[in-house]
Amino acid sequence: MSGEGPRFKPSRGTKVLVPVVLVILGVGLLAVLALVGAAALGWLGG
Amino acid sequence: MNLISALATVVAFIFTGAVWARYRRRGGRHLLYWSIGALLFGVGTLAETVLSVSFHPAALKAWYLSGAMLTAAWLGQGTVALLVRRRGVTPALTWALVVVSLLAVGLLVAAPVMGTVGYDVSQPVSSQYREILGSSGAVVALTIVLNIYGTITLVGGALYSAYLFWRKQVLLNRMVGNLLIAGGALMPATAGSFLRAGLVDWHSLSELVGVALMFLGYVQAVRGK
Repeated sequence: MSGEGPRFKPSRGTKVLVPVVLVILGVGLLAVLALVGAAALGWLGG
Repeated sequence: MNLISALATVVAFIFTGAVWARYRRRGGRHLLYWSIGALLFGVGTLAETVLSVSFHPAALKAWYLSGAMLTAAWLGQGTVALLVRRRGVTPALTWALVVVSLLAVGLLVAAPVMGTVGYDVSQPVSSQYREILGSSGAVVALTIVLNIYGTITLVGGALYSAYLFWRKQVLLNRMVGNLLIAGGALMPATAGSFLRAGLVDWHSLSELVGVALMFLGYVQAVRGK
């Protein structure tokens, strides 16, 4: 991804929130992959 | 009729139209693959809506093929085309996906549809199809491979992009957009888990919220600086 573009300065709350959201979504991804592999789950409940 | 699935269908087709229009204006294979993925999502939820009114074997196969098997992989292929810069990798993966998708179509067309007497339109097709659709081991294996590939590339790619924008502290809109895409994509991927946990209403809602979040994330990511 391009690293060029307008910069932003995160607030104190954002500095905590974004890494937490990244970790939660990362854990969610691993959990979904485990479910798909173990239970043969497809998208839309298939 | 399952109104939540119907609404998800409308959102998915609007999403498809928006991505397709951008592809026609600016080109970019990633937009083409995302529009195919969004269209497949819409076909899947449309078939689900039809199956909530009456049973049709073609609708069952369309739902499984588009929704359960191909949506994630084609959305993920868009992210692969956007992120992978190494020469030849994306075309090779795309051709592989085309071949696997055609194989999936062939397997689903040939799959027998059995015993529809007990089909209940008030229940989601996801909770009933295993007794009706004679899916072979190859179909199950392809479903697993396609969904793992699609979920890793779509969600993993969005998280990776969001992390890069966060680390460099540039393009806030794209960072937020990628987080929304990752969160949205996880929801329809977990729809089956909600069903198995007995949360039937959550199943349809997860599809609607999922596609809406992905669309919002896309709009956020592509909006002007």
